[in-house]
Amino acid sequence: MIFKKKLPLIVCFIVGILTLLQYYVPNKVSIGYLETMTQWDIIISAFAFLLGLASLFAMHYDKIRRKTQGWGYSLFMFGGVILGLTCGIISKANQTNQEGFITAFGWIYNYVLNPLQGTMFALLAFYVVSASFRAFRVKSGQAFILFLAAVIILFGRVPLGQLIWSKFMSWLPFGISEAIEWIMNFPSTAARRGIMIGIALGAVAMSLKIIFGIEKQYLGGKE
Amino acid sequence: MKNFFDKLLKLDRRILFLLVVFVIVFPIFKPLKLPGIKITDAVKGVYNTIESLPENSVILVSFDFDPASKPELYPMAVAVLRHAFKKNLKVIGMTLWATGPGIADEIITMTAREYKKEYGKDYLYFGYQVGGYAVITGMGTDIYKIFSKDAKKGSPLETFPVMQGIKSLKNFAYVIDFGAGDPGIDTWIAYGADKFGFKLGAGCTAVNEAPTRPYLQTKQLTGLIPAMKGASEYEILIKAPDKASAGMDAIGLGHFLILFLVILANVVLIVQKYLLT
Amino acid sequence: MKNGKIAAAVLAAIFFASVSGASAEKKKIEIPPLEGLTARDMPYDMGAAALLEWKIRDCDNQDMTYRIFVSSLAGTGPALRSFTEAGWIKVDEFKGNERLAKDIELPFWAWNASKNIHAVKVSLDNFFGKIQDGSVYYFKVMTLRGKQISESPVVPGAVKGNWFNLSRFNNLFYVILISMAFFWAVTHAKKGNLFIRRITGLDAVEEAIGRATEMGKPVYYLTGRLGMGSMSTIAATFILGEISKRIATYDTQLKVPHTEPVTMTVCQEIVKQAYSEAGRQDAYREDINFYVTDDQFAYTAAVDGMMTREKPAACFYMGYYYAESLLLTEIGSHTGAIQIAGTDAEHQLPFFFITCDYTLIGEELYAAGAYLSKDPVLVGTLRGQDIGKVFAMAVILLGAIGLTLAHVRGWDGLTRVIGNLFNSF
Repeated sequence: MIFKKKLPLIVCFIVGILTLLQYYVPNKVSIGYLETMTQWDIIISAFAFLLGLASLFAMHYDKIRRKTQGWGYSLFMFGGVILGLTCGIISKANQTNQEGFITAFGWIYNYVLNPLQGTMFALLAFYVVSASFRAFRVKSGQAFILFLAAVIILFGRVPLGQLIWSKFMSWLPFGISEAIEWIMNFPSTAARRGIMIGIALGAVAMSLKIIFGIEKQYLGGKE
Repeated sequence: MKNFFDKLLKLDRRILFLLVVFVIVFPIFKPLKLPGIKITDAVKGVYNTIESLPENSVILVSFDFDPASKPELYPMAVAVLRHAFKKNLKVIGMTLWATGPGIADEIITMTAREYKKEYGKDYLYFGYQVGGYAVITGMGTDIYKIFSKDAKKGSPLETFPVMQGIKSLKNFAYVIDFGAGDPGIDTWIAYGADKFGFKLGAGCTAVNEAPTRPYLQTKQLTGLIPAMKGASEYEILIKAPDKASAGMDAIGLGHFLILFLVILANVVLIVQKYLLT
Repeated sequence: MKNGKIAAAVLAAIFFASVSGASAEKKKIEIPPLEGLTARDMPYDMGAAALLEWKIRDCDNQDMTYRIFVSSLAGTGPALRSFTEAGWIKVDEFKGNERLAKDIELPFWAWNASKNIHAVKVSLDNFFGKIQDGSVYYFKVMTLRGKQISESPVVPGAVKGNWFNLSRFNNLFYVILISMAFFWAVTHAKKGNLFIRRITGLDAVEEAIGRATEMGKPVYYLTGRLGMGSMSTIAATFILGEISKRIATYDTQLKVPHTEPVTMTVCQEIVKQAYSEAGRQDAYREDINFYVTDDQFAYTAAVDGMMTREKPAACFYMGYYYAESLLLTEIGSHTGAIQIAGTDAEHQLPFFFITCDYTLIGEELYAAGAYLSKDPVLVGTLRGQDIGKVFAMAVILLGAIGLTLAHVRGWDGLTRVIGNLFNSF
């Protein structure tokens, strides 16, 4: 119990207070402490990856062993890991060799990872359109203001919209770029700042809760 | 009639997807060269800072994005590096993203070659380091403790002439982050520029533009290049139109499609509510 | 006409005579010696910089230049007289009317921002590498105007690491103030019931889990893209604890795909404990929490795929999200799941609003653990947060009034005071 609950709380308290004080102490001792903590953090991040890998392998191995639905995908996952790892080791993680030719690792990066990730990101364009069409419906006065702001921004964000505005709306005392700047800099930023101040205060309260052991759920429960 | 409007409001999303494909693919095959790009102050902020730097100043560029965000951030990174090399600045590249080294290497090597720059003397590539904010904090006090060797040749950093006088982040004349998420612009501001006091500029994806903008007002960023549109402005500023300028047609039509659909949905809603009841 | 030409010639002669006279006079004026130069440790730093100060002189203008030199050897023996032997290094150069004490960005309570003193910070570590505490360095200032050069006497200055950064005192003061409010609220919370406003998104948790139980379909719980270093992830793990207790009671299937290994390990402990507290250790399985990948879109694709195949009855998106938010929630909404999101990534809020049934905004996410657990101490922390919020609102209001007044009346001093009080240094 001491090692599982009390010790982590003590470590958390000491490190939390020291890190907080570090901000106010400019001495070399304090800088050294920050550097050491930073290096530990980097080392832990690197080792934590192995933890994830172990979980991933265990889960997919279990799927193959039990032949659950879609176990073939798990085989594919193992194949991908082995292929990627082998190519990475052979190519020494370089994308091109000394002669400037693409390596196997570079090929995987450029012709497998690049298009796959690009495709996932590109899906956003489709989902934005379908979500906007479904959700952007004016059902109240507040929704109308939101709608108006969205129309101005969508219109003025692109060169063609700016051109149309300057041709047909030039009688207005302001250009569309000014209107967008105003919306983004004032109502939008003001709302965001409000949320951000709330978040910052919440984060301070959360930090105090963790440093002083008031909240211990992250250690696996209250007791 | 009511039935038709109902169907219109519940339009199958696959039809919407087809419309998106059309407006994006069409201008790729037949560029429309839509006019009207205007240069904004945010983009000028990065351009003017680079323009104001004396020759041989060393700048650090962090490519914190992966292939997924490449369409948005690659063109601006290329444009900024072209500007820097044209101005005879020395450029050091790095990335905080595990999937970023490929793109970072490609951009820095390609642009350096265009201007016949020499590796180690005019530019250097640190590569990737795991740790996110911890890497920035570490670089703020001692770069050599975080990156002991370069990523291309594997030689100690101090052996490269470009590293002369560079010990920590404070020694860079300008730091630019092209960030798509975390670690990214927020990280560079909170753990870098605010803490160690160096000039920071940034390039971001379209979705991150709004949350990043307040940093311009508070002068925590000297400038911001937002997505493809910002990149196209930068290309105009350096008089080298490239991928971003070409992509603006598709983006323009995409915006108009959303505008059309949103207005259509609301018109149908009004017709249903007031005319058909 | 002729008279006019004569007059012009006379005027020109007078002008040139005065100009040449003035320049001749200018040449004669020698640069006065720089007196009163001092070198000391730069306050509030780690001990790697020195501060040079001297009073401004009448001759200071932008036509003249100051050059600063530093040496670590100059104070020893003959090196004092020899430029090369002393190893003088040029560390800075600036115009005669630049680098005043007012240009150094330090607050009024820690620094005298005088306009009458030149103050130059010399970062010694840029030139000498690691600087030992107590090391003495030697400085001199060269004044240049045209071909004239004048050198100041060599002055020594020792550097040392400081133990308190007085310029950050404002920050420390606010931290102490907010902490006091926080602990007051926590201690008083134990004594009585506190009111918490209803958060519909959290009230819907029971409904979502109940629905999953009725339909016999799983509940998906995502903890966001960041690791345990992020407040939102920590908050997400708190909520997971409360939700898993209810899920264990209802005997519903829970799936928590992870993108960060440390978070996964923490969540395993939390869920195990929750099942045990609900008296359902038998229902706990190790594979409730599983790691997918660290990569943003590969993770999204995998989770989207699982959701499309399994059609969960409820999906919770708590924590910090980036571009994947819409990709996940749009798929979730098409599977017909009840979706509850909670994030402090304000840039993703619009996407959650349009695709989820309920969304917790920013601090509601942090408050959710307390709200669900109804623990009086945790609920008390919310009151501490509210006191902080009232303080922030009062400060914003007073600051805005003060700055407006200062702007209208031209009170630069007040602008500086307000700016300093709420700036980070």
